[in-house]
Amino acid sequence: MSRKISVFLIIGLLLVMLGVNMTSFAKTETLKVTAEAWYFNKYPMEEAAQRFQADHPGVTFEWSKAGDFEVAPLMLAWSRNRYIADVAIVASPSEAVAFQAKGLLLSFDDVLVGKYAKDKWLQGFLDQCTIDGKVYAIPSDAEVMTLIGRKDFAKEAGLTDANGNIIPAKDLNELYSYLQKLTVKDSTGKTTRYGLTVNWCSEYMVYAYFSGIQALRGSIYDKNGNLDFSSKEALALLDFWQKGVKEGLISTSSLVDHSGPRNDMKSGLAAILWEDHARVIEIGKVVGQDKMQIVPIPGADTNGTVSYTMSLMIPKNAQNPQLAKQFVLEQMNADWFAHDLMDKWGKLLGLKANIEARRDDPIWKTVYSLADKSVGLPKTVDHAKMVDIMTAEIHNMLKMQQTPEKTLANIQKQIKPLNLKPIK
Amino acid sequence: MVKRDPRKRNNFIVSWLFVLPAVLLMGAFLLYPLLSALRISFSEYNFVYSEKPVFNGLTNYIKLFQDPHFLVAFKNTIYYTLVFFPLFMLIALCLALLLNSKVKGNGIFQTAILLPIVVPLSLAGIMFTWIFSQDFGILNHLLANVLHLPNLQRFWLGDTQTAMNSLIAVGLWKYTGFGIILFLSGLKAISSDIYEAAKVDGVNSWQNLFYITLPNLKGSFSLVGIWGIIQAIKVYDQVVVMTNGGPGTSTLVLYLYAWKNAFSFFNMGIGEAIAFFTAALAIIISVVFKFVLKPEKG
Repeated sequence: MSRKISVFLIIGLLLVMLGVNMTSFAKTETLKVTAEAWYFNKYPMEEAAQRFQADHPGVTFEWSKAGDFEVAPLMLAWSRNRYIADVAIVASPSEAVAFQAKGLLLSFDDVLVGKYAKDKWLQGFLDQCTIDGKVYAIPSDAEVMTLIGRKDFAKEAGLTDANGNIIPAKDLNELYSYLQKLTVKDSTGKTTRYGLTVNWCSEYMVYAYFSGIQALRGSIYDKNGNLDFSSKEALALLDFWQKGVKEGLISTSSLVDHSGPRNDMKSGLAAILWEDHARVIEIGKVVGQDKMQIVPIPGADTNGTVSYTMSLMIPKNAQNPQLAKQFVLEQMNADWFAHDLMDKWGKLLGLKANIEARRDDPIWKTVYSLADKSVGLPKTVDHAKMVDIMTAEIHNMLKMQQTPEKTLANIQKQIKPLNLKPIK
Repeated sequence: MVKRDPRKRNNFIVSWLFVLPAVLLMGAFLLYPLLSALRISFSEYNFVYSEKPVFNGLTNYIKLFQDPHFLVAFKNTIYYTLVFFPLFMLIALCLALLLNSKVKGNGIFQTAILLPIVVPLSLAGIMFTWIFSQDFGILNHLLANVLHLPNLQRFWLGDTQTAMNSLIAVGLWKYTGFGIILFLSGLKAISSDIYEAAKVDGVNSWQNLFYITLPNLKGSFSLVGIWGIIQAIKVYDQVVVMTNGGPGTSTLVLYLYAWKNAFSFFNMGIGEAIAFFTAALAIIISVVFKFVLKPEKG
């Protein structure tokens, strides 16, 4: 009896050992996703991985979390042919240019077919990810520049229609008269509520400026194909900003604090925000979504605005590039993922179908319409230097140290030696 | 022919073997990167678009003086140093003298004054951003509602006139504690016999301070001074967190501009040139300071 038990035990043990060995022969593929750490906390990456694993058994995921603004060291490692990721999520497509300049990226063109064909994407977003006619990144976390207004304040000021919606201003002059009505000052003349708060912080400055230019004149380029710093609309925009600040109608909280404008809105210190559309969700969570409205920048309903996207890239030395592309398209551009981003953070993905599903909501209807007409900033070698120069000069103007004319002249003079030729 | 002592030679080898690991580590992690960075400062090197650094002599250093933003950063750094340094020395010395005297509740004061040392400057920067906030800041609230001085309310960080001074105040809050420790150690080292002898001679408190305490603190002055100069010239953390060089370029400082060139514009050559220029500046000012405080001979 005991001998029989021993034989069974040995056979059982052998089977278990064989089983273990067999599993080690099963094919497993790992997708390494690299992004700044906040990305993994903010977006449902775990769920995306689980859903992908259900469709593609045997795939495992590795999250590689980088610090904020660690693109440069990432690029250095990458350019020395070190494997850092199968999917890299990078701040903006202008960084894609830097990566592509070193030949570090794989194109998505081979998988952009069927429901992912190029015409299924919001053109303004996809253009930002296109270099030399090829798509090297997939848009993610996208935003369009717009005005976000408080309906309750606008109603008090008599700026709403019969349904309580803010009537969009037709031009800067009308917007200025709106600000005069929306601004509240105390007995000493100190502003207790600003008509407008604009995000003029560093990178946002450039988006705020060019969104105004695009909305006012339908292009961010002058007649020579250079970025516009000379048109009458450019002068009008700077004049509008400076006058508004001087009169205490526009808050300057963003000059040193990039969260200043959204805090102005959350605390009721401002009636209209000039920033990206996604803030509407964040502010709505504090003051009530029913009080919020997306209002186009004057002219943006016909001329469009400026948009910004983050980008999902596949490094050339990715170990599972095709699987990585599948993950990006199947999960990180799925309806459920897009709607999670929209509902929680107000952010957009690039596929039109994702936003079309939400067009019944007036906020998303306006955002879709703006996004559809939006353009991206050009990808240029010296983009960061231009941001630096524009920020310094426009800040000086907002501190009344120079006129709008002088500001534009200074910017033109300083950007002259820069390489700002758009990389198509 | 002179015969070498084999024992001396063995000692020489053994002593070198002891220091070799340290020399190798310092060479690999300090000297090599330093020399490599120095080489890049004399090269044209955009690390995204250039294949490798190309030697261009003094071009980067010459370019610096043609760059208006660099000149502003240089001017701002000098202003920061000129205001921060004397205030830092004066406050640290006064508080050290106060803490060295036998005042009641000295322990609490010591803890309170030394506490900022353990708070990371990046964190303190965020805290001060809120304190200095124009609309929600406690400073403006105190000025208007507690002290009833509404005319003194400012947009502390957003005003070009006050932004840099606000950063200096944060620097003083952070670093004075360390200056106090150094001065205190100097004060404790002065023998009590000198004071007792002076007391017998009828010396008053002021004479004590000017003829005994301060001359005996010369070593501490030198140490605290050089440390303070270095902290002032390499100011970076609170600038990044609180103003990022703005508004405009009113708080742009040398190290921030070096960082921008290296990691935002990817122009490593210029970034390194600014870093070496800043280091040279710190060394020159420190040497001048040391020379001024040189002990008199005889």
